[in-house]
Amino acid sequence: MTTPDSLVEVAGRVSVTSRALERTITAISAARLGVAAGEIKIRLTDDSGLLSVAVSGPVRISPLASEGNESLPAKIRAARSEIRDDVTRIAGAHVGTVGVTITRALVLEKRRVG
Amino acid sequence: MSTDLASSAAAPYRRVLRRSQHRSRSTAVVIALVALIVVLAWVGTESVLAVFGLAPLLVAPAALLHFIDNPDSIGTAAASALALLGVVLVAVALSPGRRARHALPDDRMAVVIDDGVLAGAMVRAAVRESRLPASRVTAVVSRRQGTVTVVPTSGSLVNAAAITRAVETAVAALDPQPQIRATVNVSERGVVGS
Repeated sequence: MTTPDSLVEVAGRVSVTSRALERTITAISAARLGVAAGEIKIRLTDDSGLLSVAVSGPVRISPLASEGNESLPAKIRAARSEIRDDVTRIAGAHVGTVGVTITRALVLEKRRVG
Repeated sequence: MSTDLASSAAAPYRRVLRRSQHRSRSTAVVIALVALIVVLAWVGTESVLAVFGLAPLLVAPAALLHFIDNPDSIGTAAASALALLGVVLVAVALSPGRRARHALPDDRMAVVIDDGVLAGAMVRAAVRESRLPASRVTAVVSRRQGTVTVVPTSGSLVNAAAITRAVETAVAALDPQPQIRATVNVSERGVVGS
């Protein structure tokens, strides 16, 4: 067999439907953009054998007054590479491109001070 | 193995294998000869009727000869159709008339396998190795060439070399004659989800 190490390969195969993949990547993107999963729309396409992910949804930005504000493009760039790494790590799919379309910005504090 | 097939002991098998792998011309021959007989019988009948001065069945020989000498557009079309039929018959006679089958070497039997079955075996080997759904793997087998096409799942890398090896092993195990060269194409575009 072509299996490396001492892994015993079990006969059979695993199939992940595109629906399951979409839901997984929606959850990943929602976590990385800091918004609810219901706000995120995902489109998966093929990029010459790699997975191409198109994310569209809002982004959460910290209140303008708070210190340590990253610029929005830098934040989204970081989110894109995080999404790519997470998809490869969790879904096991090699990602070609990640496109992010920000539809809204949610300027809300995560927790209001009572 | 092919030397076994060629040896004198396997001569009857060789004959059987050849017969199973080539199309018989007898159907074409029978149809052509029956048509020829009907036409000649008709011409003969018309000639005899003309000799005794009786009414022709369809056309009197003299009128037929006149028609052949001065064909109208229908006559030209009919002649062209007959010429085309002749060309087709010559092509059928001269073409190798091979069937899409391969012989499998066997000491005790003459075994012939349809190319579709051979393609199925190649697909099976590729599916086992790649672990893709069987619907994503197709194969086409011609006389000396077997081509397997694999459509990968987007994001999962396909080991084309391993699939090629698996397919070659499967083909080598069957050892079809004439030998076929196996190639594996991994499709440029994948499919999302599996």
